[in-house]
Amino acid sequence: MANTLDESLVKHVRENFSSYTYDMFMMNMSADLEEMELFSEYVDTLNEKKMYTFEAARSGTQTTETDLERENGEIVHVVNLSSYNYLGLSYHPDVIKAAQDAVAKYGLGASSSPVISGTYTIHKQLEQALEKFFDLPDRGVSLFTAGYSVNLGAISAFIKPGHQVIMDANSHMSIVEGAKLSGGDMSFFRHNDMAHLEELLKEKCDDFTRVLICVEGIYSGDGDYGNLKEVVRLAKQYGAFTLVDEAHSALVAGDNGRGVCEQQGVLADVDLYVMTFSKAFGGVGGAVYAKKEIIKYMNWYARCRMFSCALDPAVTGGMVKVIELANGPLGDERRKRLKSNATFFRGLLDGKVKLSEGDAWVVIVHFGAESKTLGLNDFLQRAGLDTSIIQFPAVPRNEARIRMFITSEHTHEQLQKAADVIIKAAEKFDFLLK
Amino acid sequence: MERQEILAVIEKHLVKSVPGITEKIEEQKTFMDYGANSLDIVEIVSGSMRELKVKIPRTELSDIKNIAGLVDKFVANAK
Repeated sequence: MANTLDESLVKHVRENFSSYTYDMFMMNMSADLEEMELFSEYVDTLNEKKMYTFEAARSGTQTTETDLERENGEIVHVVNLSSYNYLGLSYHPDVIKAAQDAVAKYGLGASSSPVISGTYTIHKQLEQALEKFFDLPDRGVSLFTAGYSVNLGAISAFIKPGHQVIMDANSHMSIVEGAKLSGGDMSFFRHNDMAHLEELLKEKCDDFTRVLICVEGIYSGDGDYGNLKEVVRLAKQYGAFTLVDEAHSALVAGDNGRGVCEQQGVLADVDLYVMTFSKAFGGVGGAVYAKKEIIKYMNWYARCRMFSCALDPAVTGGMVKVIELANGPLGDERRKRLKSNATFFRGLLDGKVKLSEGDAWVVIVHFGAESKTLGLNDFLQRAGLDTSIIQFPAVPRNEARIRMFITSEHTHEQLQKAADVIIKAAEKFDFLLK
Repeated sequence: MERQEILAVIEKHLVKSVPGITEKIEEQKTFMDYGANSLDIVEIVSGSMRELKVKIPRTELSDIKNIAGLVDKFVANAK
């Protein structure tokens, strides 16, 4: 299609690029492709100004320091606080070997839906490894090819039109989209506000409908824990079901890595335990852990699972080894080191910038207005630190944040360097606490 | 274009994005007060623009503080 853009709109984007946010390119009221063409102008402008920090390519694995190649060809060396590789297992030699063995035995792709002919013995091994790891009676595992798909598929299979989904207001997009897809009635309670949740439960629960409460172990945009103990208590009191997304906490939180559910003593009480293999597991994909009769149903009625090819054999083989390592002394040692690294890093920033509460390995620094985002992210990368920046609409307006993921493999020197860069940035971009 | 006419269109799109609203829509409230998340707001604004055939410049969207603010933008940009 020919470029149909009004030149004044292009000029406006080029001259005012820092005042544009992601949401502004999400709407269009005509038949043309204006929002796409304008977004393309926006990205090109940032690249020309050497300020496009996103989609920078890594030339190797997600180690604690890495080189990034920006889209304009510039290369920067950074301390890497932007990957979810919490236990450094994505590049553990035994994990790589297990993945290589699996691909040699089963081939590259599964070549079919898991309910038709895409289920291999390696998938069964992974299911059994996860069942043994969580070790609750009569529970099973349903595997998905993305963490996002787990919430999308599990919620839309569990909830039908006429049912209710009650979500924490800060829930991940995959939970919200799963609820939308289900056709159930949706409502939100204020983040971690248990009194508000109880109000909604009083209003929504009766004998004629099913109610699912969706919460998270760690909220990745806020870096805080879900109040799972109280959620479970309220769910039992009002006869609701619970889904806990442990994307950022499975394999890590709790003494044995069973997640925030283990940490808060509610693992056996949660109905749908969601995990993502792209975080501490170091791979890609995800799973839901639940009672066997629920799992059998999920396998058939989670449509994004049924109508997708099964998880690829290499990742599946790697995951089996990851669970073995995480369940042994290496896992214990790395979990301990991760928690100690997170405490060390938080200590370096405490009192200097506005930090997320708690002691989690997702560390959030609030910097305020999203108009600072582009300049700030460029400054951080050039100073040698890569982070995962979040702004509206992922978080409310003027509550933009630097998000950092600590891993067990970071050294204190790297964390000290990262903290120094954050403090310099806070001075320059005016978010140092007075 | 009358404010009431604009408000009725916005209300329609708000209720479509956030089903189950039964209370009267007050202009001084925000979309979030009615349970809309940031992506719902994008849908409400773009749906209303399409129906009213009034285009609000993208960079003006961040100035909108509440429902009355959106009505004002429609009034100001209507031809």
